[in-house]
Amino acid sequence: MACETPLTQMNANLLSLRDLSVHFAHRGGQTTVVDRVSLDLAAGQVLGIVGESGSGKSQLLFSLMGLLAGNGRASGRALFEGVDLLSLPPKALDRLRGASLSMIFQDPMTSLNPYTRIGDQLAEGLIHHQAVPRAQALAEAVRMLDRVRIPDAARAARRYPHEFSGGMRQRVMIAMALLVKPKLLLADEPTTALDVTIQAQVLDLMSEIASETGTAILFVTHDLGVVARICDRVAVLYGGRIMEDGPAETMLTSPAHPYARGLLATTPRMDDALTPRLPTIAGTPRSGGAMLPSCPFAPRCGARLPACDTMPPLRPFGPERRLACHLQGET
Amino acid sequence: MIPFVAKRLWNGLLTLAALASLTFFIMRLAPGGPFSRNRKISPEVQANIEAAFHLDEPVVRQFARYIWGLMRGDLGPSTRFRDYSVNDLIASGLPTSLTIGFWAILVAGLVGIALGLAGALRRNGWTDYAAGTIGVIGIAIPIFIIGPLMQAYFSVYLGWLPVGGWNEGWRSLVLPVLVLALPNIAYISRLTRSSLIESQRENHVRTARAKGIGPTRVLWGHVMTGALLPVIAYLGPACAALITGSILIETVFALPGIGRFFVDAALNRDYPLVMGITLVYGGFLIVFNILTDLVRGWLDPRVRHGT
Repeated sequence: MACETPLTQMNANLLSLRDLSVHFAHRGGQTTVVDRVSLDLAAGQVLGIVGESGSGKSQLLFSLMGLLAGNGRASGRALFEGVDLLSLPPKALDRLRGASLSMIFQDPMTSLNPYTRIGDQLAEGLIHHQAVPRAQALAEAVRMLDRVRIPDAARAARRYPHEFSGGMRQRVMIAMALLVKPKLLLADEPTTALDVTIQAQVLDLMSEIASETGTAILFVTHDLGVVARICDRVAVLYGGRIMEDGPAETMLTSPAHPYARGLLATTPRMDDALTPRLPTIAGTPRSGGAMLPSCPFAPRCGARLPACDTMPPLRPFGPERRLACHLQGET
Repeated sequence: MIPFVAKRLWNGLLTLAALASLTFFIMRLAPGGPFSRNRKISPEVQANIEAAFHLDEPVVRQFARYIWGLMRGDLGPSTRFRDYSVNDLIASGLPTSLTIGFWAILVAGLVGIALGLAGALRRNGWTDYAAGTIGVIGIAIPIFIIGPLMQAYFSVYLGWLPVGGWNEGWRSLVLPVLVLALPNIAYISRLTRSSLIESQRENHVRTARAKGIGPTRVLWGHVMTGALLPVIAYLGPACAALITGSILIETVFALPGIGRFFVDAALNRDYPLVMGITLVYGGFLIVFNILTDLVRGWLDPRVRHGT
């Protein structure tokens, strides 16, 4: 197994992933969807994980929350305040989940319990983890609903999810995740299912409240616009591996990896309205199957070298950046 | 809530009216009549009997007479059991059918849901396999085979319980209730198991697990409601079917319920009795459907709000 570059300041970080892999067992053997990912996230920071569908980003988050499907298994380490989430017994994990670690899911339409009032769903976590009396927990839930700008929050708390639009439901999810004032928020494409016009509002709301409570965010998305809006750092994931990571500004202005460059080129730009067609990255993203020894992007890469038959290690590349590409190693 | 029930009751009444009309005319379309078997009687006597039951009148007039009787709660005289009205016959048979049906549905509901729960929570464990085996047996073996087998073993061989009849108190109840409940235990446990497993995979259950509230609260607070809804949707009509009596059970165990009257009546063209029992069954079905909808509305706000 290739040893990834050790990262500095290991203890100062809220979350440290070390060689985190996620495998799914099935009849023909096993599929690796996340492959030896090492990342660090400091308290209060926002880290974006960018990649196409099938790049393993959601499964990475699920593995941290202990929510992998029955045939899924995570290996490596995921240190949250020095505690390895992956080896934690279920009861100990339940003390962290929904308390100092919470998650917003991708699909607001189905992620709320249709049979329970919004207020009760929000209050449930507070009552359970902080032993807050029900009335007080409900009052705090109403305050939080008001905070995410749900109109008439006191009445909304007595309503059921189906009485809200998708955008409102995602606000409820955000309120639910942030109500417990977690140290780390895992956000799985929270704006993908939303109307473009409200995506920005919801994002701003999220980062606003998170910065108030000092909550760090691990933000999974395929949308570079989202990254530009709220992330401090970005990691680009392809085929379950980190291709490149670094500070958001540099990653968005001068990406080094051919895939990251492609991703940026395929993002529509407002000042480019005359371009007749959006550029695309040729081929389809690989998903499933056994891990190949080669760089996973090699089959689609325009700058492919003979060396690409082996996976390039993730090496430091300039200040605070890392890159896994033979192309840059050559130059 | 009250307008909802009122509306459903009114719809149910219309359904019953349609049911009464349909059964009335279909019965008369079938060849033969209540007295056509009695070849020995002279034509004059035959005509007299038919006149006594108004069978000599035009069908439309008979229908009007029947509906008028219905509105006064009178189901008419039985043509087969002379001197008894259909009201009397149903009143004599219904308590037996109700008692057996009530206990059967109670046993089937409790045992079925418990087995389904055990199977879903310890999937592929021994409880799951045991429940699955009972399920297959209960669904695959018909009542008229399992009934006599149980009679042979428990009544004839062990001598614990009566073979049939209705005069030994609770001991008369055990076997019929068990045999009637068995296929329903099987079906309900399978249904509970699969809908529970499906419910556990719902996205909102994942949200609940992410809250760290522990598996017990996730199960009772977030999995159960969704899992029970299909079971309740099945239980409603099943209650009506069980309570109004199973013809097979009443035949196998020689019980004086309305199921046997129904078969007798159909074979003997006892028009009023067939109609009466059909309407009783239809009435129960409608009432239980309304009850089912009320329970579903109570559990699921989306049903309540009509979305």
